[in-house]
Amino acid sequence: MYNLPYDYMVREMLTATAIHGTLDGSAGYLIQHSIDGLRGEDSMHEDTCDEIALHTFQNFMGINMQCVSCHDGEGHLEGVNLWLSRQKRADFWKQAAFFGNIRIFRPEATGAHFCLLDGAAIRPEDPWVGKIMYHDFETPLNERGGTGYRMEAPSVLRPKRNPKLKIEPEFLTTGEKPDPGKNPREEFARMLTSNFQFARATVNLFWAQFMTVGIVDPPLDWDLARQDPDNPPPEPWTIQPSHPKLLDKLAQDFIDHKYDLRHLFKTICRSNAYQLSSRYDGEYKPEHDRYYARKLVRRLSAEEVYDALAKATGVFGHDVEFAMELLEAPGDHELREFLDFFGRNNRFLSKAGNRKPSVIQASLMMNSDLVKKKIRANTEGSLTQKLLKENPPWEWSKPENNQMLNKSIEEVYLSTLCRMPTAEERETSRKHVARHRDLGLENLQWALLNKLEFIVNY
Amino acid sequence: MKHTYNQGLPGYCAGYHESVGQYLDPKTNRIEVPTSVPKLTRRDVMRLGGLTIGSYFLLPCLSPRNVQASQRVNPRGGADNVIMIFLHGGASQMDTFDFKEGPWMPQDFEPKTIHEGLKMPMGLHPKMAERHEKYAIVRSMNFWESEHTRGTYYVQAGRILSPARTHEIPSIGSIVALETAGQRRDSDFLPPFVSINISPTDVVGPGLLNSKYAPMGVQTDKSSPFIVDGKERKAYETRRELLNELDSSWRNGTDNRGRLTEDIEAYYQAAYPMLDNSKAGEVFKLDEDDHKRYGESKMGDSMLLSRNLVEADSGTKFVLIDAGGWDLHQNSYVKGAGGQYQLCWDLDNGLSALLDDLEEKTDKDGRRLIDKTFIMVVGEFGRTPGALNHHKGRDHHRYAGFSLFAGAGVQGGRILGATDDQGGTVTDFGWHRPRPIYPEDTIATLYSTMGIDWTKKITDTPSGRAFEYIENISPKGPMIFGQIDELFA
Repeated sequence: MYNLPYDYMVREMLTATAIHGTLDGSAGYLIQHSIDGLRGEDSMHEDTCDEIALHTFQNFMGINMQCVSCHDGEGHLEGVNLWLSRQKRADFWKQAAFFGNIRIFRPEATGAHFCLLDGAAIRPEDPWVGKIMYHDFETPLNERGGTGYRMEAPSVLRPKRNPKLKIEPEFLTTGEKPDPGKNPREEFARMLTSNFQFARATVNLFWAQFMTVGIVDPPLDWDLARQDPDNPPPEPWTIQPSHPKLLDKLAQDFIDHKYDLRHLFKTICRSNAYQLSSRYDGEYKPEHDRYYARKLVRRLSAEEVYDALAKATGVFGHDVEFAMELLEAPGDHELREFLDFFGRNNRFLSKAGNRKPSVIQASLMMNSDLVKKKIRANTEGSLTQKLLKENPPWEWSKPENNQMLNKSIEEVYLSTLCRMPTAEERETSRKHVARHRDLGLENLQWALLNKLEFIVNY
Repeated sequence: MKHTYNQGLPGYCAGYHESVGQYLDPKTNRIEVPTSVPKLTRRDVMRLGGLTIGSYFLLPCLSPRNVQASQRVNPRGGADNVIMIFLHGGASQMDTFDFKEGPWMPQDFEPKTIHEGLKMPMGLHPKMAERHEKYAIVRSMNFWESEHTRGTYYVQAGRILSPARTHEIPSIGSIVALETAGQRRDSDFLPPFVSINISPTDVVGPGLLNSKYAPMGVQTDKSSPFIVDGKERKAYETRRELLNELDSSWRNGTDNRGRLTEDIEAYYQAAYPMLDNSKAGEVFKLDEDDHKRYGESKMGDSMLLSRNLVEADSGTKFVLIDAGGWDLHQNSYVKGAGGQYQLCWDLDNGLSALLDDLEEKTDKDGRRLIDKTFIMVVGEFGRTPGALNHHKGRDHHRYAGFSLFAGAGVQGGRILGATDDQGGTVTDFGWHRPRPIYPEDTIATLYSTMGIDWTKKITDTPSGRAFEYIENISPKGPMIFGQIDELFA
């Protein structure tokens, strides 16, 4: 597996082109923000630019511009976000304008294929793109061959833009303008990935993934006016990060290691904070969460739940081994259903997965065919099958094989919960398995999969 | 035909929802970018002068926190359950319940005049035509959104999708679940809010409310995981027993690991009654004869299941059905799966059978189920009027559309409102307010039949901004919403 430097990866996503691509290439990041109009084949170009700007700032800079994408911060956000309360809607448009010359459209009227190009580099007569809808070239092109970001364009998502304003690209936090001789979105990618906030937002985002709570939390809602302890915000505001120095150090270290994600993950996972137990025997208060007084329990994501299931049982999916490899909804109906109910990440709708528990999730773990199939001894490759082959039940009762059953039980525990059974658990499990023989091991794995500890990281 | 769409006002945020509708020329069906700023009429100026400042601060998406509103209303009551059928995709009004004849119409639609005010396409929904006395039709609908994601949200949440508030806004179904929580009996084993065939990514959840008011999503085309097959019950019970023995240390609350584990445990506790109860299997089992009578389709099955849930009377108060597939931009009139014909036939078979059954069946007190079940059928918008577009389909159109109502006191046979001969513009509002009927009004009506005061609000919210069941604020400015009295006696 590659370990691409993160800044490289992001630059590639923001500058990618595709001729006949789907969501799985690096162009997928921009393509997924394409907004359709009232008719199936319409593409709302400026709305698409808006969505790209919005998500790019949120994902890579931790700055949530949802509110100022519709109206100025003033008069609305004073009690929400000090820095954003000073931003104007025009500032948002300036970010979207960096993407004004891209073209995203479907070469066929509908379907999963997209073109993502700078300017109008191709013409309808080009044979390999099939037909291009007539309206793609209705608006006059500018000197770059694109249409730019037109303030008079209609919107299906937001209040009308102000056609009286002249908008030129200008980077949000620095005011830097693109070099006129260069492609604006390439300039944007450079400005973004060389910004210190990019590194800070990134390390904080991954920290939050591992630790459940970010140093700035929520990790995609930064308030840039509340970051510097030496320059505190006016009362009653407080500094936003719980550990500002740690955050800056992590960010600098990330930059010094050339945006190496593996290095970042190692640093976090080796920290004392990460390795704390989730048990806390003193009196615990919710406000301790921010200070990492214990490991905070988190529910596994949809993909993690499925992958943990596959790994624990040794039975993998048809299409892909692990759900983590999925680029979009899996073709396998059963798996898709399972992941949907666990709140899978949805790249197509650019929706991050949600980890809210539900009744259906509990039911799926206990009673879905997907889970039941994986634990069955007659399923090819399953753990129970392997254990029963190695240590068949008719051997268990022989005195010289006294340890056999114990070993099988331990295997189920290690494979499912990554730990040995306690003495009490061993006893209960042993009794049950000895009584139910073949089915006993299946029952045991079923029970362990439905223990709370399976579905959480603790 | 003159361009009659509302032009919006420059600098006035109503422009938002005017969205691209204002630029869509109905004749050419093309998006036109206006070359000049729309002119203000005198009336617009009055509106601008009178309302700009006030409405600016009241608009749900743009207003600051702590909006207050109050109004005295008398909910009708009478309903115990709601079945809400969502025609996801946006069903065409002029090919169905606001039927219009025109050169675009295939011969086998077979229009028939039932009476002076009602023409029905017998080739599309003969059974519903026959039962026209059993339900009411609203033909003066208008919608706020022209795009699916936002429209789908609007129908379920009764308000505009505001990114700042989506995490705390509950679904209508969750509000009904909350309001009826007091009626819940110990023997009830089904969740109060069940959603059928709606994708988990489309469904609106409980928001700020407790997770027990969350919709339980069911798909009719696959087995429900919370039903233990009779043959497997013994094995399930053995496993459950083992789980109980093994799990004591995490589940008895002695192991202090925080809220999350308690939440997950709560859901297991909600799942057990269904898994443990063999009756649940009967409710979710679709009888073969019924399945045929309801039209042997996914849509029909969803309606059959909603009947079972109402009939079982085991805790479910609100059923949301996604009867989707109506987004026919292309080749609308092609026969076969996914076309106008098949969708109409599916709806026709399912809905007519549902109405029949609810009329015929009674509860243990002898009350007809139809008298205590409010049924509402609505999509997220209508479709472009008149002739088909150049792909032989119809596109999104929010300035006209239909909705159907039945049960819980709704007077069957009533027809409210009318549109022009193309089916694209409302010409008669058909009710006591001088404006079209909006989704908010249909939801207020739904709340009303359930005895819920729709002007209630929850002030203790995470954002600090009050959550109003129905906000008297529209994307166009302040607007009083309320129940559609004209549906009832």
